[in-house]
Amino acid sequence: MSSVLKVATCVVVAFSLAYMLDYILYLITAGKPPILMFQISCAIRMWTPFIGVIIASFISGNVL
Amino acid sequence: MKYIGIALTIPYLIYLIGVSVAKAVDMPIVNPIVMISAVTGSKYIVNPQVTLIITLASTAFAGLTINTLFALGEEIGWRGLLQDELCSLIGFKVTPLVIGILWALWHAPLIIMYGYNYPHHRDAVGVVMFIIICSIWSCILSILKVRSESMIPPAVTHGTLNAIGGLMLYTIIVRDEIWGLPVGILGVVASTITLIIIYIIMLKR
Repeated sequence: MSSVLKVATCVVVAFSLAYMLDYILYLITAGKPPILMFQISCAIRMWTPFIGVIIASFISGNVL
Repeated sequence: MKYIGIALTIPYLIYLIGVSVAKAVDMPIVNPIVMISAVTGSKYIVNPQVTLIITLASTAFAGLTINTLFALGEEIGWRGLLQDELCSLIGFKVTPLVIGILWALWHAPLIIMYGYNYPHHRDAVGVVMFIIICSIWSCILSILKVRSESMIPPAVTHGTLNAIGGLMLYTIIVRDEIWGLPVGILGVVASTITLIIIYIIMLKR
């Protein structure tokens, strides 16, 4: 798989998951999440680029 | 180990330079412990100076441990796959800037929906400001990754920056966070000076 496709996969996955998490949090807390909930969401969010790397690796055949 | 030491030092260097620049331009500087105590209504057991030292030490500990663990999730993506692949496509000089822009845009919903970092600027101003600061930090982290050939030092710097951010925020008193530390104009100035120092020390050798 070309570098462009790997980069695109990683970026699309990281952005999609992170934006989805933010939107879900926004919906369930009406835009005012408690601090602990916000921090947990941010902690999960921080691993979305890693998930992007994993998926890009699977697609390219270079499983980590 | 040497690079982990350098990585741990960088956020404190940004803090120190930021406070020095603020003092030079006559911005009000306070002990952040006093400010945090006033804002949250919490009390400190020992005097604020000692509490500040203990807090600074605890940010270093958190930066090296739990915060690095979480920052690693981002760094494997940004400075890992993205940096390696983009370098082969567009070269080393442009790559950190592209990653910095992506990195900031990835944070955009937090800024717009929750006022993350910029409670007064839940708009394009906050996002653009964060793009500028992330581009500078991205250059610093990219240099660290290239020189150390490891993901750990950038993750340590990233984690420690997250840990010390609150202290930075409450050290320089500004009405609008767009002017202060760690993600305002003062943060941009301090981070740029730090980038120049890191560039001279690590890439020019």
